Amino acid sequence: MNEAELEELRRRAEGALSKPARYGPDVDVTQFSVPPSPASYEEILRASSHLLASVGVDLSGRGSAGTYLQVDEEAVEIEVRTSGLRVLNLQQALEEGIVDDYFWRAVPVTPTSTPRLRSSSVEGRATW
Amino acid sequence: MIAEKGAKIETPVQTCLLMSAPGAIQAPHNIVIVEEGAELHVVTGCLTMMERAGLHAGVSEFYVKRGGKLTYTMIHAWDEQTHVRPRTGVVVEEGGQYISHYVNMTPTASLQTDPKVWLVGRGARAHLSSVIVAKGDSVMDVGGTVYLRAPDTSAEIVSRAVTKDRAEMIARSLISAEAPGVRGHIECDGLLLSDRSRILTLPALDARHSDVQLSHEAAVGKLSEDQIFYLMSRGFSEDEATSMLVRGFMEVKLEGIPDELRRQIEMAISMAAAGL
Repeated sequence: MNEAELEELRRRAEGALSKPARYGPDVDVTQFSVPPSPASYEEILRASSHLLASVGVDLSGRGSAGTYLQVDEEAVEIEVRTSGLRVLNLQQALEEGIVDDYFWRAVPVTPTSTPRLRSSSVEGRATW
Repeated sequence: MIAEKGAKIETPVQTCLLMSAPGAIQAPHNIVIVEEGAELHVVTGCLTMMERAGLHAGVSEFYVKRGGKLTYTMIHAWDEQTHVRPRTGVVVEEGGQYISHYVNMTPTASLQTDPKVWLVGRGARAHLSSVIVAKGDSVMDVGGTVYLRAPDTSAEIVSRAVTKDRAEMIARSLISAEAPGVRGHIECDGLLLSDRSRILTLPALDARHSDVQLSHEAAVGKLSEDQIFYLMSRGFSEDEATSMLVRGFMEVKLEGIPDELRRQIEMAISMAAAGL
């Protein structure tokens, strides 16, 4: 995706920001911000291991074909344990041109998708 | 995430989005591509470990190519001060299948989502199921929309909502039939466990062609006292009887998924029921 296309996404996102949500309580996104990186992801994961288990996440990776683990806005683990599967950071996928035909194609930039657009992810910084 | 052409990946891929910082926004953007003839199961656990306000606003874009199959399971365990706004769009090509299961286990300040699925190739199929528990002062507006854009496509949307305390739940669903020979069914059930909670179900069918089959059924109410008394007559306490009936209400068909994943979903539903 070239810079002009990204700029168009940003422009539409800014335009959508001022519109209220159509459904559900309106959220003031300005009250939230992208957090700084924590001192230790390992400590966070250790402290939350029982919570992770409750949503089906096994940090050992046993019984899974791959793992993508994100804390706040940072990908802290990406692992693939089977053939035929690729898991990569979205930023890397964009740089390699793998997802140009898919990025923001199935979810339109509209008022309902506004909250996330304020953050880094218009650029596809984090996630798979 | 990409499942390459023809790859049958039967073991689930686990993904996790954890929020650790108060006042933070977490805004993931996920793209899943299931190439022609491939099969992929993804289970995503989303949770927070903080007890202060946060916003999770994720975008998920899924593309299922010809003859592919994607099973996407999302298990949410948020916090009473977290606002959640997932945005999901799915495009399914000829003969492809998209099956999603969503379980929300915990109180959430607010949740609003309405995944949209476009079945654009002949014979494509979608199945969306959700089990939502709304407690405390949660406000949840959970939808599901499927556009049947190609001949012989079909869709089923199944939702189970349980409310307690002062929670408010709106369950929306829409199937839009836009091609000949398509079929769609919506099943939308709600269970109120308190007089101060609210459930609004809004199943909608939109027929834009005469040769279509569309149906919906919706029911909202409280637990049957007769059933509670029956179980109590069999030796169960009132709490045990209530718990068994709530768990039974939350049962949804879990088709075409690996045993391990089925076990995870059933465990999540049981934990959600146990907290009521």
